[in-house]
Amino acid sequence: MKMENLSISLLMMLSVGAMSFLSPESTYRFFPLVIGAVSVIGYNLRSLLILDTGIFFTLLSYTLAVSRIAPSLENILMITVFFFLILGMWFYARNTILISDIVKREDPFNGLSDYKRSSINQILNTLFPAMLLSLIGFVIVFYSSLDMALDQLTESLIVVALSSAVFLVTLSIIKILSSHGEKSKDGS
Amino acid sequence: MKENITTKNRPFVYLVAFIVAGVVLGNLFRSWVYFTVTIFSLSILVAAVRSLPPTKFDIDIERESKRDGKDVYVDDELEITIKMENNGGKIRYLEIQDILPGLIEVSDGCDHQIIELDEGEKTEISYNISCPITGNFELGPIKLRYRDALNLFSKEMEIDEQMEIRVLPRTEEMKKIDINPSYTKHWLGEVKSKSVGVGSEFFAIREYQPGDQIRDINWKATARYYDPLTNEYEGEKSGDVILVVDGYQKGIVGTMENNTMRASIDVAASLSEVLLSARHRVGLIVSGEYMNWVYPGTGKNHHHKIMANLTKFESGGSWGLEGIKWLLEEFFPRRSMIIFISPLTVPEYSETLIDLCMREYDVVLISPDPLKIEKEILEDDEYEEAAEALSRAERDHILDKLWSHGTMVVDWDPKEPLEPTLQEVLRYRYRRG
Repeated sequence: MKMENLSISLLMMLSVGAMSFLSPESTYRFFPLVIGAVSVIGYNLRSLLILDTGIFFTLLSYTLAVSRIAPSLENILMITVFFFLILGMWFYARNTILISDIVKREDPFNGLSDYKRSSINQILNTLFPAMLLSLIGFVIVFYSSLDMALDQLTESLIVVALSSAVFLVTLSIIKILSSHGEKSKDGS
Repeated sequence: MKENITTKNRPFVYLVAFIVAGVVLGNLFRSWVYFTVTIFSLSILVAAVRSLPPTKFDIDIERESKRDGKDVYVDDELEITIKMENNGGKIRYLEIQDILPGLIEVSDGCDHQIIELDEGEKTEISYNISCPITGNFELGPIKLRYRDALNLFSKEMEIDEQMEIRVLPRTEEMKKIDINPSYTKHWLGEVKSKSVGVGSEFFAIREYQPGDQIRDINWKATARYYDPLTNEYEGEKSGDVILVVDGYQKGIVGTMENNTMRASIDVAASLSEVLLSARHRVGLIVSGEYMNWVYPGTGKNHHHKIMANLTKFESGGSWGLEGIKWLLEEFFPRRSMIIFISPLTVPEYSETLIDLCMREYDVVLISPDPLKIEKEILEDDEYEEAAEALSRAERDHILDKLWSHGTMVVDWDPKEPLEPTLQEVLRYRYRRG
């Protein structure tokens, strides 16, 4: 258990360190490293709130640190890899904390070791399709916008239209999820 | 089964916040990087929709214990098995927790587990429980929680599967103890009555009288005197014994698990077993939160009745010994042996005990030593020897006073078994006559 904590903490620190050092020189460059360290502390304190909030702000600060980089395929790939790496570690770290809350002592029959193994597969099974989906989206957007000379008004209109579309999609997802099995049942 | 609403957890909220923040910041600073956050989060949500919790769970859950009866002795283990059958679709993550009362301890296995259930799969989880104190406890309900792999959504259910268990007081095996009331009654027992009656010990020979049983004829003596002679036996009788357990809240010394009242309950349970096996009629008065009593009786069922009363016994109340005295005089047989089990932390009790002795009751006091319990639970630096010496002197004075008025006093250290102490006092009593 201690070995697992140490390796997750180390991996998280290495990832946020790489995020900071591979970002272009700017005032915000070391924000991900500092905030990432907070989330590592949260993980070791077994506090989900500190871990979650730490990860949230680490990723936001990373986008701030790399906000001025050029839109190239390499840069998109780099941001995607870092983003999903941090998210993957976040979900795994959360699972570890939840399991440690469930059972204080290891018991060969409580199925936790099986669950730990299958949870990694399941996290990857969700994150890989999501990563692939976003990469496909990026590639389409990136190549469709090449050599397009748009005037200021058209560009603004496109941005507003896309933002509205994103909000609409988000709202519909939330609505679908909210209506999912929300009826409470008594008896039977 | 109660199904709670599907809840969205903090990661879900943060992903939505990423989407919103990405769009807002991207528009504000005109940077494509912020939009990447939106696209990533959105694609994760889309991918995660696959692992939404089932709209309806169809799981049969049943809790069983390996023993037929749900009775268990203090600190003994009881194996509990939860059997499950999934009649619905595959469930990847199912957290199952049996809600146990605070005092019940899981000694082996685990009452809180994570399982994966395939369609139609049957599985079971087992664990052992034990309890350090007596009482009636209710296990359950069983809580189930579904979570997806990223912990974005969870769904909780509660299954109203409950089981009552009864934790009985610990009994000490006391084979050598021969505790008998001074006054016996007519019914058959094991106390030699020094008079002719029904028994197994030879007493005398007398002339045969019509109605004597053939097997009682002493054939050797009959042959010698040419006259039919019959054996007479010493009557073996039994008496009434009333166990009185003091559970007065303010007089209890010790912790939740180790206190004078728990020790008193264990003594009462052990003595009732010994006395009933010696064919005495045993009654019980417990004075705590409520005043409960069991009229003297014999047999296995009566023993169960006594154990049930001792199990549900809770400290409290302010009944005092006067109430018990009244109860004894009004409802219980006269000239019974009264075994009063109390730490005797209330000095006024001694006066009532002396008064009972005066009224021809055969009074035995078994007193779990509160000072020994206190010494055991207190740290060395908290313990004051001068205070102990003072309390000891006061206690010894009360016990001496009771001895001098005819009460048989058993000053018992609850850490030690009762049998040797009780045996020593009984020997001393018989020597004194």
